[in-house]
Amino acid sequence: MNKPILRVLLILLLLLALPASAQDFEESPGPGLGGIIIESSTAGDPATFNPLIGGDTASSAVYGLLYPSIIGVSPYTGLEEPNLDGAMAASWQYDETGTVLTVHLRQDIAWNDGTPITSADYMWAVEATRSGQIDSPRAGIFQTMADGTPAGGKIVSIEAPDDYTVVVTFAEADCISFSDVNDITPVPAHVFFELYGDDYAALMDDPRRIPTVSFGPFKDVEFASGERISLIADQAYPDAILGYVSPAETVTLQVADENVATERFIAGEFSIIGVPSIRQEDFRSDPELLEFPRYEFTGNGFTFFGMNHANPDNPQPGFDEEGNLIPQEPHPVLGDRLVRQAISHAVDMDALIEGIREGNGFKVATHTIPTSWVYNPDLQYEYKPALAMEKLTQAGWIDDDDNPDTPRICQDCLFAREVDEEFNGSPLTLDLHVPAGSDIGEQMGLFFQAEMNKVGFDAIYETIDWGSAFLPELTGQTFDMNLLGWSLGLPVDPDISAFYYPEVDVPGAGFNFGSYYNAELIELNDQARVVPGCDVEARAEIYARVQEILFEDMPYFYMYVSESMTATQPGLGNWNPTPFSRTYSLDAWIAPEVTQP
Amino acid sequence: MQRYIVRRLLQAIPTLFGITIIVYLIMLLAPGDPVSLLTFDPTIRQDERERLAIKRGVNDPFHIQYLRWLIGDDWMMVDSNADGEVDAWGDNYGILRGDFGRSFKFRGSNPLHLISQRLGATIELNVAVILIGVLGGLLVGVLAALQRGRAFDKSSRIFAVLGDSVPVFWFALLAIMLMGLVLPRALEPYGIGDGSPFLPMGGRCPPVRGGCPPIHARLHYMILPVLVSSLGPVAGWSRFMRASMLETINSDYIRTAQAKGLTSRGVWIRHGLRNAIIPLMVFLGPLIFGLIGGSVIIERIFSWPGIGLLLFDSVISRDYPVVMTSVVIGSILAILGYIAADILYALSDPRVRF
Repeated sequence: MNKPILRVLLILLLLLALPASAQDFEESPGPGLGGIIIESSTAGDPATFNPLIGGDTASSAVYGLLYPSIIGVSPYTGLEEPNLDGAMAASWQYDETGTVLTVHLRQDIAWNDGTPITSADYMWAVEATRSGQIDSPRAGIFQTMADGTPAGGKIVSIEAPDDYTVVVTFAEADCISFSDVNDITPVPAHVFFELYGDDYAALMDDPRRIPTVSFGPFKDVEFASGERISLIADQAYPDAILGYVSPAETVTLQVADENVATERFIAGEFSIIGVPSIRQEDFRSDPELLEFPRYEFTGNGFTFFGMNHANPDNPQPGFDEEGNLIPQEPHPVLGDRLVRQAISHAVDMDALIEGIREGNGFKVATHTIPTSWVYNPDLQYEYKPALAMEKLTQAGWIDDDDNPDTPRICQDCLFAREVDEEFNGSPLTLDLHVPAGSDIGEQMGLFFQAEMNKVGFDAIYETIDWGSAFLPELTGQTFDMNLLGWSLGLPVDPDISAFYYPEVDVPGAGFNFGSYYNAELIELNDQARVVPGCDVEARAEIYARVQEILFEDMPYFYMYVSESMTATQPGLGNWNPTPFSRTYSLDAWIAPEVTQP
Repeated sequence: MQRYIVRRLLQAIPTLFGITIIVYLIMLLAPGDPVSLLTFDPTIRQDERERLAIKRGVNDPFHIQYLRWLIGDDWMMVDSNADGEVDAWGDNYGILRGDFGRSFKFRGSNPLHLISQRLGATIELNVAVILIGVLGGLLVGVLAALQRGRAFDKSSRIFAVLGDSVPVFWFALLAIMLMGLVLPRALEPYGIGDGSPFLPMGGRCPPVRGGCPPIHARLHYMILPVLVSSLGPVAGWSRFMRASMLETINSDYIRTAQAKGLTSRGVWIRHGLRNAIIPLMVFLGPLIFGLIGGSVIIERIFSWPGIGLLLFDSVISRDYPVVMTSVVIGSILAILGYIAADILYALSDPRVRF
């Protein structure tokens, strides 16, 4: 995609991001008279309806409708903002050290049994999480657990000086720790205390206990395993867009196969659907499918080929037991930046997106996505096979027989220079692994293999099982190049500490699989994390340079952000999607006639 | 007979233990671990991952993990966090004391409860499939044998080849498209239907609150999955039955019965069919196991909430407690099924004695 088109697209995204007011929505037939919304889900059974122990997509889709968040994320900007519907925070500020965050809570919201929502509700959730007695995936946000054992996080303490104030103390000023505060979901303390008292472990006895008191547009979960989740309108919800909840009920039916789900949508069984990538073109061009209103948006995550920078035969952690940096032996091929850059010039990403993704992809070259406030559209990999070959030659990988069909060999390449002189003469070979089960992934693996082999690689593509082979070799750091995708949460932050710091270079566990670190990059990222007031513009300036380094170093081969599509039945009223949420106006929806059971 | 049954049941105990040891060992030896699979999320910190691994005991040696599953850990102290000191007593009682453990994936849910939630749907579907498969297969097989060499016999053979060779997922998708979209839309202009699906395209119950209605009120939800699932069994049973029937009707005693002047119906039904069924009795016992064995493909395509998909997901996510619970239930039913098959055989064939 060229730059003018890109800019137009970004402007359109910003225009779409303008908040809608209640006047922008059409009047519904009345409270609970807006029909039944029926959706499909491929996520399987929710593990729990309890936000303190949940973490999977299916669970959070349910408890997200039943509990408030402490700090809201705007569906229009994707950023945390005060006074948002469904959230507790009215305002917040940091002290001058940047380590103490004071959050002032709204005083106008209550659980649906009439009990005001206060700081006590958040504190009960905090104490339960910190107790270590429950299987919470979020205990790691604290510096220590309640019993004093280290937890690895940045939050030193959370206190509630009064009913409508929460004070969070961080170990150090850190802009990304702000999101940690939101990792804990408030629960009705009066109900939970009555049920469990201080015995937090008892929460685990019934993970699917149906919440009796909630705060959200819907309530009263009815769950049939493997089949259906239904919630009915809660007219006690004070933040409803229209002043009342329009749909009578929302039903999510489990449909494991997305192709079947699409056909069932076309037949009129569902109100709304996320259109699978391989059917998006049909919805754009097939006359029979044009009747379905659709919304296309740039997804919130990216696909990439992870590259191992260290020797896969000798994976080492970032630090030794004394905390000293362990020098990493370079990967025989990918340890050299020139080789990684050569790959970026060898693969025609436009052809991949057009041919394999049917145009449903937005090319990226760093870890930021087009909807991010730091996205730089000027950074793009260029498809130049001749330049790729030149870079390989510069890197000491020569075409010894002048035959492009045979792999190049090492002649004074990085590994021979720095590790083993006998490596000279070795062919330019590496493994491309793709998790089994994705047709598109398999096609991309084959495409990469063909493109790389044209410039002198002997790339060997293979699909392997996710659980038993792909993940162990990825986290074990014994891979060469593996295809992966990251789905980013909201708000999207450009921080890179979870991926490119030596602290997370831990074979078998850490997320710096490729053992990539760059001192300047880490210093810049550290600076961006302590910008006074976490000023977005000041941080964006720092991250502009961060992106340039990532573009040059290529820790990953960043490929594309998926273009996503949501379609609805004709007549779904008050559907007002934004790039950050397709369903935020759910409580105002008017169900289409065709899907009513 | 009673002594035989008791002996077989006693022999089943070491078999059952053997199965659980082998399955547990294979599960642990397989690459990948449950905590990595469940916490593959960069926002979950390393300390949290380690805490979960210790809590679930997945880093302990095989014998500790197996013993914990079998007889609990409230009697033993283990150094699960490898800090050089043994940890506190555990709180698991083990499967022999009725504690099936806690699901890894489903945040501590009781595996027996998870399986039981899906069992009804699986039994419902599989009973229908077995009934149609066995009865349909017997009928087609007998008729094919009686019509040997004629059009029906040849057609049934083609049907059997198709039933065995057409992939069930393809047939299932075809059935969904046909009954849900193609036929309703093609026939609407002729005043047949209003364009909406002739049959539900998936699910087991209508998407309304208040639980699933009684089975007679939602039989239409079963038609497509049962028909598609029955195709293979009907094909297989019809071939077995045809072969067995042909062998029987060529026997001397059938000729004798015909020579005595018995009616054709009497010869085929009383003498032929009865004896032809005997060899098939050995297959009926293991069908009990088939009653709870879910079909991943059928459940996936028809969104049928049975245990097949649950068990598949449990294996993929290394949810050991759920996998082991299903292995125990399945093994017990398989063992009982084989004993039942032997008993049925003895009851139907007076020549067999224990």
